Amino acid sequence: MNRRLFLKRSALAAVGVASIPTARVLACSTEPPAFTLRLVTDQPGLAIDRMSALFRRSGLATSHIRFQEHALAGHHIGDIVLMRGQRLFNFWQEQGALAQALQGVAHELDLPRRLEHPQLLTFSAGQQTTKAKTVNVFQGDVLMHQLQLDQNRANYRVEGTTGSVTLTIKDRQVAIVGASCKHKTCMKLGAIHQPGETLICVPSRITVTLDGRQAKRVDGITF
Amino acid sequence: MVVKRNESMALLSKRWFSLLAVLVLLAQVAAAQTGDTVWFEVKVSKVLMGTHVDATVMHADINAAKRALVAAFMEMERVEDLLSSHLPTSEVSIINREAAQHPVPVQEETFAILQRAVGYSTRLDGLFDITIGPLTSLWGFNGDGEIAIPEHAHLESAQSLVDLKHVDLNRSDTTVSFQKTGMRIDLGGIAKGYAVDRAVATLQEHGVANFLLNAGGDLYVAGEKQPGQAWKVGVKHPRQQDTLLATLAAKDQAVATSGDYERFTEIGGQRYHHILDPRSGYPATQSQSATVFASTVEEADVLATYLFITGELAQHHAFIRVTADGEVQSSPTLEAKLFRVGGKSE
Repeated sequence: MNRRLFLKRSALAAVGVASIPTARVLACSTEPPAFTLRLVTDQPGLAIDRMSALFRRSGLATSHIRFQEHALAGHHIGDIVLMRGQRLFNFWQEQGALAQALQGVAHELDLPRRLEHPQLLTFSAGQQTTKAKTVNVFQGDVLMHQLQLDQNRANYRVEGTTGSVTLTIKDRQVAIVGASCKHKTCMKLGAIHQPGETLICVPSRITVTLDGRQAKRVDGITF
Repeated sequence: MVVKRNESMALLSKRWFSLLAVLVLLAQVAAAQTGDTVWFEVKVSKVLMGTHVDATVMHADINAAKRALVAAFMEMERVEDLLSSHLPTSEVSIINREAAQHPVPVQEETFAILQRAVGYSTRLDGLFDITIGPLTSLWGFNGDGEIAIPEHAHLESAQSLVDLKHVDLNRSDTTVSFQKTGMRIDLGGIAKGYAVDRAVATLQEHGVANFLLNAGGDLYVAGEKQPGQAWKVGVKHPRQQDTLLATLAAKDQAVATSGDYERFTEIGGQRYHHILDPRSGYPATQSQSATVFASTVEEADVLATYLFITGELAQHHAFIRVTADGEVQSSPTLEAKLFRVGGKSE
């Protein structure tokens, strides 16, 4: 091989190496669609391990995945529900590696089945903004009630272990209209209607939040 | 023959280099797609210390993040059990009940906090005073009763009990005693900040480097939200609902705010809030809100109270304040960090 040819071939290889950052940018710019995966289980530690490994292999998300865990009161059907974009991904019927992997997790956790006081694990990713649809009512960190935001309710009483609050849902807004606490600070908070908004009665340890997601401009607020 | 061999070698080299370049490209695309560096944003919220505490940890291992968060929240609960004047079994409640009768022995940790409180008071011209308990109780801000303007005679009587000089801290046996009956310690201006600092230390001891802790507006941010992306902190506007006074990027910093809008009542068109000026016994009137950035939440908490009352703070501290007339002031050290002033909170 003569010198000119050698230099030409070396340049070609150098182009390949230099294109690595470009490749990463191209790969990352094609972010997968937003998703939310809800998993109800009585084995949260194992479920987290399996799902974490699945996420690393699957490419469901390339940046970061949001995670929350809540205890559920009462009886629930343990299951895995994956929404990709606005579409339900029925992994029992779909083909492909992701469907098989989810089937494997479900088998290992012995899902679906009826569970008592299970944990709800929620994984989500993507920048999507979603409307609030559900009013989640917590006693401490246990999810006690889930109400539909589009169904008006007057004077819905929530009993906690240290107090109670009364909620009203009207015109897709929810407010605390009564409380057993002394200062009734929670009643002065007004009505909420945006995804992620929260009402809290501290003495009663009752928290009311709206589901959904709104793109936030800040990560925390000092007040 | 030689010519043919050279040509075939050249062709082989050409194909080899082409294949090499393509393989490198494909390998990196594949690695970028399915890299093993997925970060989880693990969030926990609890009602604690009379407020809502939110914690967000960025970690590659959810279970490890959970263990660290459980430990951090347990640590805050432990500090609350130790220092809350709302819990009859806390050391502060025992001090308040018994220290006028006899010296009350306390844990080293409680003693250290009380010593630091004395230090803050000395440094801040006596305007940070943990013996303000009789005044806050009189106004009704801490008790179960309604908030009301106290009678002048009662106010004077309560004010006579407000002075750290009447508290004896005995280092040799870590005891606390009051020189006057009726004195009360109120750690509201320091305890929450201290609890958050303890939670910060706990998370760091568990190897968590990137997190945000927010206990009712007392914040600590550590590390980054994502590689190359700082945590963003908003400062609530004291008068405009759902509006931010300022937003800025922060890293490894504590932030605390004192404001007249969290616990207050309006009587005769006048706002009476919980941040009392020890000099007058009345709610301080210089500010609507005061936000201070510091290395610990405890210090930020204390300085925010001081800035709110006096309207002044040494310029090397980073702060943003809204005066009683609504004017926004910020320190030169903060201006460089501010993204913007104003804007919606969501």
